[in-house]
Amino acid sequence: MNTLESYLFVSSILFTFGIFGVITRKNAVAILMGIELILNSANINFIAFNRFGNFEILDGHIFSIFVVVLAAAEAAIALAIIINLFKNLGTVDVDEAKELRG
Amino acid sequence: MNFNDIRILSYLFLPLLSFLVLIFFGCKIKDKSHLFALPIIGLTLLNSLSLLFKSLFNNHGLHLENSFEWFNTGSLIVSLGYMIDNVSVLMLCVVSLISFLVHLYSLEYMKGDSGYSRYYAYLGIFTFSMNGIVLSDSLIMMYIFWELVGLSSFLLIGFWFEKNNPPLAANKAFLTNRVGDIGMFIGIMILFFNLETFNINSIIDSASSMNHQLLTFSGLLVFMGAVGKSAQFPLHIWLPDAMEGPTPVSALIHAATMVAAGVYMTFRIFPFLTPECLSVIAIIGGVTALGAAIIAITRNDIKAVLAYSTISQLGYMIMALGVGAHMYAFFHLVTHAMFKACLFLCSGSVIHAMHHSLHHIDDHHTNPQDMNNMGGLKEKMPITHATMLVSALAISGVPFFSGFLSKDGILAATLSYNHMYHGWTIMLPIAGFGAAMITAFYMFRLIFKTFYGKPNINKIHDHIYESPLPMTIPLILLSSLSLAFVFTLNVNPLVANGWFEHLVGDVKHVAGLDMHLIRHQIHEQHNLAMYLSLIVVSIGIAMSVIFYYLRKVDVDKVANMLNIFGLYSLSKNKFYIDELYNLFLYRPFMKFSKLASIIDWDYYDQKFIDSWGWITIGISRISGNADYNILDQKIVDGTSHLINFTSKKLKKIQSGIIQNYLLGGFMCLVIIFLLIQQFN
Repeated sequence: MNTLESYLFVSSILFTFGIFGVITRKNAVAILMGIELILNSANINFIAFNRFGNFEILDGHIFSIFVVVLAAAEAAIALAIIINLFKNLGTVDVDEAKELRG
Repeated sequence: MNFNDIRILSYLFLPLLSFLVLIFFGCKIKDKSHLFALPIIGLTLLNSLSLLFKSLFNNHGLHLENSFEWFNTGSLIVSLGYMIDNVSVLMLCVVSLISFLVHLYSLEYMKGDSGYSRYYAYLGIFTFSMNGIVLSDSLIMMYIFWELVGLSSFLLIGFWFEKNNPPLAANKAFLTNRVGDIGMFIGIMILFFNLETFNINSIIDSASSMNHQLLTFSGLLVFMGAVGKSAQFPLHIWLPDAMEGPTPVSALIHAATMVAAGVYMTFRIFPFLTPECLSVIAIIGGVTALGAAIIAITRNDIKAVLAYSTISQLGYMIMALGVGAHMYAFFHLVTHAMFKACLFLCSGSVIHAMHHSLHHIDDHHTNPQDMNNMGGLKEKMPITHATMLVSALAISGVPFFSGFLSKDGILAATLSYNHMYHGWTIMLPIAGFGAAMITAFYMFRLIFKTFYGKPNINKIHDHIYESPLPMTIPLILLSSLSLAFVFTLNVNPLVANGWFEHLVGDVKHVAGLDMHLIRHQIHEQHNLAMYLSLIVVSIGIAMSVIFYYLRKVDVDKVANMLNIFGLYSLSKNKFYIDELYNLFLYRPFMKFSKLASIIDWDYYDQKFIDSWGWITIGISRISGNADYNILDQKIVDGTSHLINFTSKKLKKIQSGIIQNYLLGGFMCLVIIFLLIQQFN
């Protein structure tokens, strides 16, 4: 049970759910949640490869911490955008945000 | 340029000016055209008369000459110039006098015609070109004006071109003249290449250096022009048809001046015509004089009688030239111009009156020119009757009238010719005296049928009136000029010597004719000719009186009697000359033309030439198909269609929905990974 494949399996399921969420949802918040899932699946990959690969250093861990930090910053900005979207359009449906469409 | 040059040029350019003004501005002046044309022709007449007086009182005779180089191509130098001597002065007087009188006459005759100004314009160009013939000093210049009178004759014959016959008659006249003119041009060119000059006087001076046969030949060829223009046998067929033109025009062109141009031209070239050439000319003249006179007997159209009589009289002139009596040829030309113009204008006056009468009774089917519809016009038209009688006496050759003098001279010349050469030449005096008798006969037939007897149709007769003054003045003037006294100034009618003979004078013959001997011979034969001609003329007039005035003999019976020998129908059908032309020239030619047209059109054009067309069309169709259907439609358009099609398909990807793009990107990623995995 304690093998690389099981981790990769979990992370790819997580990634697929994330992608699915991003693609299918109209709600901007749900899309943001999907993105979070994708990021986290990548984090799992980083940690798992660092653990099962014969690495002396903890590069994977550090990368995942970076990703968490970036995800937090990104979530903050994304939420700010979503709030502005809601203020302007009265909805968070991304399909409605098409004023710049040519 | 001195005074004489300007004076001579005015003969040409005044009538030309009249033509140009009337042809371009005629539509503006219309019924007042004569106000322009008449003074101009009057001025020309005064000019001619003053020249005539000048030459009359000049003992050495008038001689003016001047020329300038027209163009020069190295070996060919053509110059234009004028040459005036007593003969040209007389001819100028005749042309301008008759032209003036015809202008005057036409005031009334052509009144109200829709082509009034066009008519005067044509008269102008005719006078211009006729003066050109008279003045020219070289054959080539004469030829140019020769064609111009042909043109004006064509225009005037076809003047009423809206009718059926005049255009056909105009074509016939033009084409028949063409035949003669071709010969004339070849003759001129032969002379030029042998003598290297066109100038008539230079040709006469150097003609003796030329080969005798060649000179005969070229003389005959140049004479061909005269055969055409002066309506000699066998090219006389156009002149009777030319009567389709207005009658004053017939008087001016087809009786007095243009047809005499052939005689005038032969007169000019007479000094270098060889004796052989002259005998041919004499034969042609004799045949024409007698033949045309015989045809004239049976004509019923008043103008046709005069037309054939003109041909016959022109035959006299040509015959006179042929037998060496150039003086009498020219004399007859002038006297004939006066009395024949008068006869034509008289017939015009009669036709005019008939026409008005027919118009008055609203009859549009009766022919106003047919003598069978006239009769008894003497009381109704006294002036026309008197003047026509005078000119008929003149043409018949009755003493005291001008025709007597000139015709006698010609007859004496034929007698002397026979006296000198014997043999076949006896035919010439026979033709001459025969024609003189017949002329007297048919002229009085015309007079009696028109003016005497009972009116044939009373209704027409009732509305006949004498023509107005502008028409009768020319008649009176011309008939008084038909008196012998005018030409001799001698009260004795039997003396022919007078100012005229003195004025024309002698010519020096360079091709072997002894003019001195000829003159002497003519003088010797003169009395015999005079008595003979008096006898034949009295016979002719007497027969006419018996047949048509007293009506003692039934004319139809005589005609039937003569018809046993086919004589009557020969005359009635004009010796079948038109039919012969039809049979031997026209029909074979038309058959040949038809054959040529079949070969050319049906075979060459339709089959050969067109087959190239079909082949080209076939090739074009194939290459067009290849170009359009394959290259254009498939390759060129196909590319754009493909692009269009793919763009349409690809357009759907550009949905503007981010998630779709993301999905696409993701799927691409998956594909790339799969591919990488595959190739590893």
